[in-house]
Amino acid sequence: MAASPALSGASAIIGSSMAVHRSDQQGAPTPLELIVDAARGALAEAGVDRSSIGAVLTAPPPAAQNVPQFCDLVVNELKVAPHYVAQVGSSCAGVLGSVQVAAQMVASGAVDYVLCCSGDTNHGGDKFQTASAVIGDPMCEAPFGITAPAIYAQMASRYMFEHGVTSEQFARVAVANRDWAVDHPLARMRSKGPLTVEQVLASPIVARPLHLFDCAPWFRGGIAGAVVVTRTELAGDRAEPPVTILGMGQRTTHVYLNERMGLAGIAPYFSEPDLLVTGTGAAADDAYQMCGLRPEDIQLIESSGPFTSFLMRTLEELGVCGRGEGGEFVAEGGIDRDKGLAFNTYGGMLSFGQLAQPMYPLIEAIDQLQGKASGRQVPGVETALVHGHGGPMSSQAVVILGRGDA
Amino acid sequence: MDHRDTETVVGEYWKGIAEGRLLLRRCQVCRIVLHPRRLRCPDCLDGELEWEQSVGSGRIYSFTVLENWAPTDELRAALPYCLGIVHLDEGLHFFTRIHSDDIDSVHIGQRVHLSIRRNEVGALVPAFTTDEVPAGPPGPS
Repeated sequence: MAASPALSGASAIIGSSMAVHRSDQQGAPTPLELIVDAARGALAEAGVDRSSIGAVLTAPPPAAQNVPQFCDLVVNELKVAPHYVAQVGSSCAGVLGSVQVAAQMVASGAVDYVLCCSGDTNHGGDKFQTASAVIGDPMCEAPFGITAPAIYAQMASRYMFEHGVTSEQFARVAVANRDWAVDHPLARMRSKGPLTVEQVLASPIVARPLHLFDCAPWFRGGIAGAVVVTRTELAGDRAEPPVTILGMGQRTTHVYLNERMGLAGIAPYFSEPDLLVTGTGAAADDAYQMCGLRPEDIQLIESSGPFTSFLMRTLEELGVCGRGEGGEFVAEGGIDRDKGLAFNTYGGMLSFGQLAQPMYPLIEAIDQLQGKASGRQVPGVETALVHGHGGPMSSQAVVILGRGDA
Repeated sequence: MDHRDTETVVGEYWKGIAEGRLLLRRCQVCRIVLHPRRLRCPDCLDGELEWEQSVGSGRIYSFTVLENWAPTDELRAALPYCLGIVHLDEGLHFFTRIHSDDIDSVHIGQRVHLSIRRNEVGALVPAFTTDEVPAGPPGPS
């Protein structure tokens, strides 16, 4: 069931900040250091004293600092003593999950202010997510030679088989994301300039039908993000308009793809194993129902999906177009920067670069709503949707945001 | 009620593979066939699962062919290789390696059969191989 409509607009984000370390800068900060920097920035923008923080919520531990009780390290470093401390799970969708939990905590009156923060670093390693096997089942999938792209490629080939979508159409997603990334100063692929469909199709195959440029490169360096969430009535007058949490939903369906496909079906998501159905559709339905908005009311979408084919299917699951219509939608310019829906204005994982536990798609949506997305600002954005994705298609979170003064 | 952890259950599964059998789990209450790493039936949550040998045949539900990148040196040497989900004839979708004499002709819907063989590090794995298409009657010349 969807959350109560009474929760819609009951909470707001009053401070947000990112801490970034680029690979061409000196040093190699840990995720914890960057998270503390981001938290300091978010608290300053919110104008909230640390002693008022009632809860600190993090995503699961960063890949680069995978220690138990990571959230307690954050509390310790911030020198706070909140009532509640938690790591909100569901893989990388836990980032948005933490904001959803925060919204409920402040709306219920349990606490007044919640600090949500997460981040990760990559100071080396693979350039692209080409050979990573970490989201495969070590016992039953790894012995066959699984990789992350291979998991999503199986979805892509089924997508092509059932709905006739094409590699050219997948490539259009990479091209559209790149067109935004060229105006984001932090984007990993910014210096490469615009991308063409021909370049995507000419890039080496990673896992058929996915080419190299259908896959997300890793972000080089580190990024952390932090937001402060409070009740709308406490948001008050401030320089930046608060960003209101209008709708939210989240679904986790499995841990490993093999087992998930081995289920007879999870009502109401799918009646039989279907590689094209994730929890995104149900999460989005819940979010729309909570706030009474429809997909056509959304002016901006930011997603953390790491492959072109998956992003195209995500547009369908979010209700932007119907099942099987994503290919034609993008081919007709549906997400083109100059004429389409504003989609992944941060450049997407495909061109911004990917890190685990990413809060940067959310912060991009906040910046767009507050008119702070310099060089790539979408005019007049009043409603935005953020989609968080984690695991091998296992966890999906959706948050719908609005301008608090709109 | 069974009280075995996942490692134990999966260990029994791999023992079956070493003996040349693909073992699946079947719920003794619902009768549905389950993936070998299941501890409980996901429908009734009962633990009375019994091993049952797969018929070892099915159709390709989806697949991919890996080229250029793989996680280990041994796997890189094996490129290109095909991974896919086989819809077994008893109803279970099963992730596996798919072998074919003509990897470019592998397609969704293609019939495959179990062919347990050694992987790149010498472990026996329940791979599948595409069926040979029977030669049709000679057509008009």
